[in-house]
Amino acid sequence: MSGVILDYEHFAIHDGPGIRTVVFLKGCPLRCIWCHTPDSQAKFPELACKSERCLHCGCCGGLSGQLPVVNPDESQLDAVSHCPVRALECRGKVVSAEEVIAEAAKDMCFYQESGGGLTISGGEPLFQPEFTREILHLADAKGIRCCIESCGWGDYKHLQSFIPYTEAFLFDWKVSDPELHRRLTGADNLLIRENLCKLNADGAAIFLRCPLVPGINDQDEHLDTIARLAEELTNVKAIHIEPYHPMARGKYLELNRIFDPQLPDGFPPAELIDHYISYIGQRCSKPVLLP
Amino acid sequence: MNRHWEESCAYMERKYTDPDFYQDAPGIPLAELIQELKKLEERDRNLPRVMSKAHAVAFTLENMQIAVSDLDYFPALASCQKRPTTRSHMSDWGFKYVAQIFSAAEQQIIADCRDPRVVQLRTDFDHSVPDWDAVLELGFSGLLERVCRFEESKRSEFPAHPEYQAFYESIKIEYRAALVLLDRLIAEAEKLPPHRKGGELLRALRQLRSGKAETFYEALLQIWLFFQLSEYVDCIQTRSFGNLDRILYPYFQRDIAGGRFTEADIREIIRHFLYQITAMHYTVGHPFYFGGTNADGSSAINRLSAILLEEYADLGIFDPKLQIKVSADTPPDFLDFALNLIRSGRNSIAFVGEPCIVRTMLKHGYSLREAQTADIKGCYEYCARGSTVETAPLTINTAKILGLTLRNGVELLSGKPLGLVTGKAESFTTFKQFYRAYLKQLFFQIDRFIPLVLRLEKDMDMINPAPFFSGTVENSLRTAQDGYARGCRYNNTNIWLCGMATTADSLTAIKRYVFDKKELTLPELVEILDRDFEGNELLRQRLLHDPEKYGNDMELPDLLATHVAHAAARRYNGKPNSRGGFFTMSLHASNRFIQWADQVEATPDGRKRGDELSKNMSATQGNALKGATAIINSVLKFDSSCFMADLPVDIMLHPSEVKGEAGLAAMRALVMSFIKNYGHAIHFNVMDCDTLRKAQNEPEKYRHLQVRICGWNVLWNSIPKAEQDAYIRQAEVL
Repeated sequence: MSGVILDYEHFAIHDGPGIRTVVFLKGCPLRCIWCHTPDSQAKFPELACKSERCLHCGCCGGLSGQLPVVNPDESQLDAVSHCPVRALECRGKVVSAEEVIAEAAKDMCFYQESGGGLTISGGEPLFQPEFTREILHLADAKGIRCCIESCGWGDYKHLQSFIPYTEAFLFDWKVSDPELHRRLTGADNLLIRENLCKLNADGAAIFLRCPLVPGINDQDEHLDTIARLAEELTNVKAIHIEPYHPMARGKYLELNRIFDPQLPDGFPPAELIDHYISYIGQRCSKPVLLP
Repeated sequence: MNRHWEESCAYMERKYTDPDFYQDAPGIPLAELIQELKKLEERDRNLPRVMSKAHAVAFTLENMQIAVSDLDYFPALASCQKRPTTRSHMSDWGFKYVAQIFSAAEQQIIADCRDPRVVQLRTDFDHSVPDWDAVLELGFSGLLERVCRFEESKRSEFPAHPEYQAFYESIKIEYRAALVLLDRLIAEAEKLPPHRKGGELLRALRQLRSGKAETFYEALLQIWLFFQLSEYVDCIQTRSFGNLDRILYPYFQRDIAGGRFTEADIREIIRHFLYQITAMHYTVGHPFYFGGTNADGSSAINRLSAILLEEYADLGIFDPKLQIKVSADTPPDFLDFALNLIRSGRNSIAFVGEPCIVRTMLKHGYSLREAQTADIKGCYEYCARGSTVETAPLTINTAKILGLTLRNGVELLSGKPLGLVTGKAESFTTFKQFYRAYLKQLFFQIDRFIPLVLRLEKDMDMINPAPFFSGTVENSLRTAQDGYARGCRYNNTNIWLCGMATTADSLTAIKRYVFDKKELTLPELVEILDRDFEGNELLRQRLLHDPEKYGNDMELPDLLATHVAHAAARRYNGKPNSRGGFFTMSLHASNRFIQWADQVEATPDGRKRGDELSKNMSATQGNALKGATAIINSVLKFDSSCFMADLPVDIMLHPSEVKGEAGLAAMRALVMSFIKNYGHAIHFNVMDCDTLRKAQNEPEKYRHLQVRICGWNVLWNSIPKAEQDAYIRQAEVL
């Protein structure tokens, strides 16, 4: 079975236990305004250009100036291949589940030593559920332990089918208020909350992953809810605080897409991050960590 | 840091760097001493060189300027780093020896290949570790007595042919002179106030004069003095201080248990010892190593290992260079402490794998005990303890071999036919043909230099006889042969191949662009390389940015790198050398990757003339695009047992990749995965914001640098400048 992936990341150490390989699947149902991987949102491959690297040599026939281009045709892909400095790239490719496992298996000795494995991330694994399931099955057969990183928006039956093959779910909890969630991500969080509760009820190990953007989704009410959810859901093992950073801005430029101007320019100060951790930590018994 | 320590540091700095330090010290000033030594050399011209050397060493020890101070536990010797006998004796001997053994034509070949950095032939006296156990067990006087016993035994065995006489006599002269030096130092120490360091120094010197070391401090002083005399008076015979935590541990335990010294005392002595080495400012560093496995199978890491490393950390120094010999049972806490140092920017610690050493040495016929107790002797190299001198006289620049192959044996910069006629570029119709020609060129150079190596190394004692070192080597004493020449039980010779990744990437580019995709012909490529890519920058950029490079766990470049190296190993490993040992291949670049770059023309991987070559078995600068695990996987494709001396890899990480507990655990897992899978040596560089600024200004050189954004890592060059600036600002406050 084949699917569309954005890329792999080897030697990932903050996306589950140990040293991991992360496969980023393409396609996401949400459009979070702070999304760090905008190139993973579209289901299809998409062209991007690192303008600062571009020599303006014309080797691509001017394609670099015509972005955004989603699902490029053969002639466009051919033009990409002519870029001498690989400034113009195709983000995304079709691969088989076997290829994913072969790539992940390269680092088997590191998994064995560190307790690591493969993390299926995105985009959103639920956006390609059959492909995800196939990867999980093959990984299981190969003895590679898997984590799923998910925004939680999708059909629960798929999430449920992942459980037997998944060591832990890195489950996003982005915004607690449903209406604000809709405004900031494009969908409300009712289905996400429902899936989170079901996952918990079905005994899956869960790490809540909470991106916090100063002035956008770091209200006390949200922090209160994170703490309450973690406390109520017995299978939530820890809360991972993911402080906002502005580093994705460049990726939007590369795709010739607009980076939301309401987002902060800089990193949140260390004191603010400490505040998040201590605030939530005081309100629940689960560990609150910076991954 | 207290005032006394600051004064001590200032004193130690002065002692190694202030030209006026010895102004009022007793003894003959160095310049005058060298003149006297030259006269001695004239006088002794008809003596065996070993005797001439011994006389020079004795004269030096009896007359050179010395100093002791209440600020320091270790005496000052004017010979340190100056190596007076090198100037008075050895340089001339080396010159004459080479002139004698090589014909004019051979000398021309050596120079022709050396100047454009194709092949380097040298005498290597820089990779030895004395038998430190014997040095401590016996002391100078005990070593002297042992020489006499062996001489007596030899005399009873061969009374009629006393060829061995000069050998034993020279050692005795030198060790007796060491005792004279101790007398001189004692006389100076007696002038010091009797409290604290001065009193300790006097007591220790007296003990070493009368016998062997009894306390931790005496043992360390013995090591220090032996090192100074062997390395800087008898010259270049002690590369490493050895396995300090293991050899000093019994003294440490005894002193603590007996109340002779407290742990605080021991720490103070260690600080002075470590700072000596830092203050020497020796360019390539004098190493010592931690760990390994004890005879009973337990880890040799002990309480003293931790103290040594803690003091090193606390001093904030970068020299001595440290190695940790890692086995499966090396305590994780100790590894974590070391890795934490590296994370904080102390990147001078290398991890050397014991499983690799044991497997390799067993394969080469060493006993299990020799393999398990092997010493680390240089940067990463290993050897049987107390019974080895391995040399590295021959370095082959594999990237220049590629140039010779492309140009039918002609070296581009000199225009000289330094290689074999293997065919013009247009004659190759398949990559296989070209690759075969490459191997022919490589083997041609090694084949023609091996006879020269054999002659060069046949009588190394004609250049630098080594009585001081030989006296510690039991086999040398038993056979009455110079320890460097052939007296050791193991006298192997390493052949270094450098620029391997540059070569593998270049061969890959030739296969892909010329023979697979046929984007240009080989003659066209050669012409472009001849012009250093001038007028073909777009092609250069394509070649440079092509991701199919060694070090990324990719099939073709890794295959080519391993194939070239294994082909050479199969051909030369085990070939007898002229010192009773054998040749082994090694994949060590040392500093050639940068020093030789100017003389290496443009290469097909997109590298311009003057750009760095690849280092050790690391990817070329900027081409480890898939991170730490990928480069380790590439290196693990080599059969490390084929490369007995060296198969090191350097890995660059950003602090953000290894931050926090998870980062530390990941670093440890990288080391242990590498070691358990028979990796030889691994070395990390963790970069800070200054480096990031350099990376921003010179992106091509840092194309492999990764930064952790949040949930993932990205390549530094893949993020735009504004984001890089933001990251630098963040790094500045770390």
